[in-house]
Amino acid sequence: MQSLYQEYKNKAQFFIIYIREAHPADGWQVPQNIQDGWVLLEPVTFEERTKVAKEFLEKTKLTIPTLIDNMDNKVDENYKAWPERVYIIEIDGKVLYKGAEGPWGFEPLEIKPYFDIMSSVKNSGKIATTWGALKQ
Amino acid sequence: MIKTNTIIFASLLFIFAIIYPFNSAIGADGPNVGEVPPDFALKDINGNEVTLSSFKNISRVVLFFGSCT
Repeated sequence: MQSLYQEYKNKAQFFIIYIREAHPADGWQVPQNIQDGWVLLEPVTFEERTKVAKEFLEKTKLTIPTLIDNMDNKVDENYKAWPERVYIIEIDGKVLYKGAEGPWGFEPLEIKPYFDIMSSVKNSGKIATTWGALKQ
Repeated sequence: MIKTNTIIFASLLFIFAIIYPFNSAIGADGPNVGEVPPDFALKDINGNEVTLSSFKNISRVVLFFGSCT
């Protein structure tokens, strides 16, 4: 994600939208998160969610502008985004690309052809195909 | 016995008929390619509000949704 941002930030406005946790410790905890040290309770206030998002950005060294979904999770619901998903909104305000549902469908590299018709996703190599890979 | 099964089946059909339209309503699977997505106004980590529609006719927007877990 960071590499894509660096490469195309002059061609589009990038945002991470930080939504409700996929695997909080008080929810669907997964061993991989324990192993990687990502153990936290689902934030219950907007301030808590913002704090978690800031920590996430610090740990991953991501510099992509980050928005925080409100605690009603309305934006997440409207975009059927949980646990993760990518969209490109074209300059005309319409959806240009809609990624498949994460985690398996979360493939940020799929946005490349929309920016650079000369590059192919196949030949570009994988940068970080999942949020899990990002954390490592 | 047959009557009971019929009643159960009819009940399930009834429940499905009520739930299905909500499930398949536009937006249930998020906006599709070519559609105008729902607008939003969210705060960034520094508290500044950002509105999606403010980028219309100005810039393409890439959205990465997710969480750290």
